[in-house]
Amino acid sequence: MKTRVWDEEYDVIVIGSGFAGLAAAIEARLHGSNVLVLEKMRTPGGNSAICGGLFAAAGSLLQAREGIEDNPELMLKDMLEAGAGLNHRELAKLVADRSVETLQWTIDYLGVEYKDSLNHLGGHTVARTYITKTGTGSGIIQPMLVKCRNLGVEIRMKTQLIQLLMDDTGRVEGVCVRSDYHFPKADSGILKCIKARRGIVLATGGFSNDLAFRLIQDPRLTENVDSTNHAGATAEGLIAAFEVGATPLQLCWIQLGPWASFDEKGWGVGSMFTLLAGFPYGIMVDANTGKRFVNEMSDRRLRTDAMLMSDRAPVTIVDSEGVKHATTLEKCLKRGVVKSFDSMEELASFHMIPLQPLQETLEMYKLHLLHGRDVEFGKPIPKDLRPIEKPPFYSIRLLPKVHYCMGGLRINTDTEVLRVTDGKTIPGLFAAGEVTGGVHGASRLGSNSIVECLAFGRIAGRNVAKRQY
Amino acid sequence: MLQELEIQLEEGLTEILAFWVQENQTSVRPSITTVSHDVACNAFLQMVTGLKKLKEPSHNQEVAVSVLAKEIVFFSELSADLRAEGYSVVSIVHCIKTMRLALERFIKRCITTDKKKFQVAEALHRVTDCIETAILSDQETDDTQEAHNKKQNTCLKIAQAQTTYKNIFESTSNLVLVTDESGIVIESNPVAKIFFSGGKIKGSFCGRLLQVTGSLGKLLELYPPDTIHEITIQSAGAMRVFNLQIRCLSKSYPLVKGLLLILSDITCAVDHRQVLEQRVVERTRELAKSEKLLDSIFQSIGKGILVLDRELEIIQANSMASEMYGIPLEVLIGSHYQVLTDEQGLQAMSTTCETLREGKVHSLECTSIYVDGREFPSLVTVTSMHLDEQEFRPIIVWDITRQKGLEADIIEQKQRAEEMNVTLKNVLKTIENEKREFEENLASRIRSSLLPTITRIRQEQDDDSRAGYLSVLQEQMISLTAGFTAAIDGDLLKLSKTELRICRFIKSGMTGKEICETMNLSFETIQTHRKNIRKKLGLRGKDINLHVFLADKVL
Repeated sequence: MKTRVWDEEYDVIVIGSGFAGLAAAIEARLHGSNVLVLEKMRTPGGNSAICGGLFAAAGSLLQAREGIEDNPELMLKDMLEAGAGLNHRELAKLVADRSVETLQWTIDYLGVEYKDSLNHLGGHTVARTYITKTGTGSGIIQPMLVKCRNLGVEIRMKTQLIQLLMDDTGRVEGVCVRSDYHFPKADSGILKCIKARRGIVLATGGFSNDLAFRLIQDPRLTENVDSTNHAGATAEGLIAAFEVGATPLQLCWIQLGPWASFDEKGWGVGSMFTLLAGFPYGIMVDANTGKRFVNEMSDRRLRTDAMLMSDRAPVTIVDSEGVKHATTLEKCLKRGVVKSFDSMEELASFHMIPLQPLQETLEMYKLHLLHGRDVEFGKPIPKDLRPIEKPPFYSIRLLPKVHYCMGGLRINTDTEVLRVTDGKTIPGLFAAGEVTGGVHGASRLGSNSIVECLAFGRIAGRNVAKRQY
Repeated sequence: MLQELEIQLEEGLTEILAFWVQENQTSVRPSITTVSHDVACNAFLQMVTGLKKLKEPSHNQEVAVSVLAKEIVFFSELSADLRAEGYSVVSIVHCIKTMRLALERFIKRCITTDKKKFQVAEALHRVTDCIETAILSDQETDDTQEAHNKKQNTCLKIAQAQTTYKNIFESTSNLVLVTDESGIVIESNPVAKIFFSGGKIKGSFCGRLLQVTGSLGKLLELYPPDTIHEITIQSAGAMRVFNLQIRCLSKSYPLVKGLLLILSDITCAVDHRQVLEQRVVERTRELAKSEKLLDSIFQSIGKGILVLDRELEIIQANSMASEMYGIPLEVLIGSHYQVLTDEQGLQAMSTTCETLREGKVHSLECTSIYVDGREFPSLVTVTSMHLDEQEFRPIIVWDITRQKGLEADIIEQKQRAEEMNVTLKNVLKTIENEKREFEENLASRIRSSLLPTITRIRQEQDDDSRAGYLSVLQEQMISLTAGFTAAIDGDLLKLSKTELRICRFIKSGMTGKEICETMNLSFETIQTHRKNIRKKLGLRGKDINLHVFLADKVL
């Protein structure tokens, strides 16, 4: 028997303080464990705090009010379609099935406030997306942090995971961390070993900003490709899990976000503008030709592939009607991400779009709307969609950026991490959120991530608290 | 029925043109080189339209001529122009023939049935026949006066145009070289002659002049035609930089081979550019340096820094501020200040911001809120700044939880000290009171018993009674000392000053010899004093050591 010297001891250790991590921490605490959450950055929340706060739920109250028919089967179908059948069906099904329950949990238990209208995001058959009042993920993260404080869940910042520690029987019994770590200084801080009596939940997110690891999986995503993620979205959690024998799954499926702005870094304020107003209520044209080239509401993979083809310079145009759906318009205008014009001529000359083809495109789009069918690209046309006619017109230049890692660790529906050698569970190790793989297959639909993280995070929290060794 | 063929003909215009150029190259007769690209295209199009009109094979010659009237007019005008330029009718007819050959070659390659191809070829023959006939008949009528005048006019025009272009060619400051198809210079303008004065220009390879090694193919690969390139040529020991533009003459005149090279001297501009570039590089480096410095200060400082705009929106923040409030920078920037503080703090901040003038610094203490709802005290320093006519408020936030803790400790300690002070004062007062009481007591006893006794002693004549009174006085005085720690021994009071000193020495354990040395007295005197002390203390004849006796006495 090896004997380790433990600096500290807890029932449950959660690594990562995003949606999945905090959900697991809250559930584990409610099931009687004392919980430590580790976060390597200076602030809690990671990507979850800066994301768009979009929550997809199939069969929600707002849908019932609006008379939108929806059910988990339909949501699952959408997920499988976008995922090109690469999804692990049982995991995807779980997300669709629990979407409404999880949404209600955020409202009833956490007290999250959502806007009183639904959004229709690309790739979804119907409008099923809630958005937080603040329009960012911090609208959910903050109530979760308050809950953690009230429940007595300790969240420790600037503590980086170095290694998962195994005992002789192959059970993960603790972690080796660097406390007082200063991201990104690799050798800062002091090494410590912390024991987890019941288990460890890995919720370290994706690796969109880990250039080295990203290049291994997809050599096209060089340093020239920006990312919408925060700087700490790196792969060390994933690597630590591989070290103890976890199964890698579809790691090269890395999603680019089609809506990010050319004129700012990272996720910024422009992404939400395009997501909520630009794509659903406007058109995307190539500035070189003035023509549309893809269904603006198709899934992200199709859109980014089309945008990256043959030196296109995508610009999205929306009028004063469509812009009403945007939440970040003022900030976008203030930072020059979105430009406003009194006429289409001004817009065209600013972006150097040939005017005549652009006007033809707008005419054509209007015709499609009149016929109720986009024969060119097959954009779904809901009743409230209007032609782009009312000035002022708004435009945003787009640039696809690395957004989400569909691949990750292989887990079962109990969120236990499965060993690569025999496919059995690794005792004491659970994982939830973006660090896991298989839920979304080839492409994740927008607003499906929060629900996945929260649903699996809660399962992980409940299951880890039950373990007794 | 022949439609698809017609469409193919119209779309294959470039290919037909290429065929035509080939036909001309292989023919023995010199070709008409002044036909421009546009004119050639137009001529082919005219022929194709003619073909379209002559679909019906049954037309006889006259009908055909009337149908093709428009096309024939075009070609006769064209031929008239060409003749005016000095080309013979034979050349022109030959040209029409080569056009027909090119078209036939193309038709052969078209995708359709052989029958249709044959039909079209036949029609083509008829069209060209009509055109040729028209041109030849024009020639016959050419001798008329009108035609003669026309010819002269055209000649004049051409001469004028030529002079104009010659002038431009000679007076331009650009270096112009014209070469044949193999790149050998056949003409150059005076400026070029001056620049390349070192060697023979006419007849030399243009690549040699441009100081490019290799064949013409390589030259064209290096500097593709119709785009502008920069080229450096060494001349008379100095490096000159030129914009080089190569044009293929065949581009606009398909039958002409050769290249046009235009070189414009941009050495000056390049020099300026280099200087400017150098400056830009220097400035950029400096800017990057100062930016890096500023950023490292901004990010590494131990206090949170926020920059607010007029509406108290955060437009810039450092990572310390982000850590302090637990909010990622991405979210913090763009948030309103109200998420960071309570209502009072917001109120105080907005009042401060409104009243603050530029250059002033104001500090205020307010409650700040961590992302999970925990409140902490903070010290906020607000300044004001104008940038691009916009007003900004850089504020520095300092988490003073520790300071507040220390402050509270100090206050507590101070309070405790004050309490102690009060207690001590009370104690002192009590002591004072006791002392006063004691003194009063003493005074009253002296007044009530000692003084009357002394008076009586003074009045008393009788020695015995006086002695009695004296002993009473002694007892009373001893009784006054009763409150002290050790009651003063009545006997000790009898000792003289010197005797008392000696007693102290004895008590401290000194021998008689040591005492006499210290007091500078003889040993005998000390012995006498000893005897007297023993007598006064009532120890005479008793077996008690003086040192032991004095040990517990207060002296």
